Amino acid sequence: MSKLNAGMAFIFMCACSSALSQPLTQPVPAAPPAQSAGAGQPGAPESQYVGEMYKIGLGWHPAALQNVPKDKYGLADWVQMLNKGLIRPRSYLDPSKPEDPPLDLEIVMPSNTNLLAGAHFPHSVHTAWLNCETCHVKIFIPQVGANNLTMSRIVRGEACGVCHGKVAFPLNHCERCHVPASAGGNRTAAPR
Amino acid sequence: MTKRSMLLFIGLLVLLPLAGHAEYGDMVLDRHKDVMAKVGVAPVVFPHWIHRMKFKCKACHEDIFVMKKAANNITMATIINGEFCGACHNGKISWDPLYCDRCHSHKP
Repeated sequence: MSKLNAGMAFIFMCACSSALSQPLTQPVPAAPPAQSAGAGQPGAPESQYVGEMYKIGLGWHPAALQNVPKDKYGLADWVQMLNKGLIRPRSYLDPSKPEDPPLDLEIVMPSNTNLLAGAHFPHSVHTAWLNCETCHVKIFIPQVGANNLTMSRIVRGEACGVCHGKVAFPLNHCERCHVPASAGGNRTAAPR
Repeated sequence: MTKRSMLLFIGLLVLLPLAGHAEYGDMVLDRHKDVMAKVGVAPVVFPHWIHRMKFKCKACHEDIFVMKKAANNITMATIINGEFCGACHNGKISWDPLYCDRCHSHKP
């Protein structure tokens, strides 16, 4: 009888030790190989944490801008990308919120020199990206003649220069603004 | 312009594009660089380009980020609490803020 008990105890101890040698929880899976989607630049140091987005392949794609339309300075032409439907950026974090229609209003600003054509501001292109509150009234007062729009202010990063030259096409792309206004659409002449 | 300075200028023109591979609208966020250096992470590079492929400017500006330098108090604490980057980088809309090197990636 005691022999049987000792045998039982031995088997029990073996079972226990084998259970303890196993990891108690599942280990965090290692990062996927560099070729898979979301793995980032090959060879770049990455943290070893594996998040939900990483696992489903919605990670970092550094090569994404290689084949997009470029402007004459070799920078990505975001307006063309949006108009051609190459990208479909969402307006709101909440995907159920409907997109706003663009505002068709072109502001024509005559030049105060004879060196350059006057500038035009198409609201439609801008409202495709921005809402009214992004610019009005902190950057632009929506009133004819209320904004002292000069190139020297823009170059200093004020007015149009808040975005242009940083995240929108650069200021040396003169002819994208300084052209005769496009035909059609609602126009308002606004002497700066 | 002397011949030497001309050569230097041409050399710069050739070498400058090779020096870095920053994209359009990349921003370096190094306001807290002293603290970042203390904990051993690089300053943050915010790439506008990948974000605007998925969201229009108005999704973030100016409800989440004010378009002014040093106007947003972006810290890991605020991000984890769902503010600023954490409005999306929460593992639901986009990946969770666990990959330090993805954002803390500035190489001077």
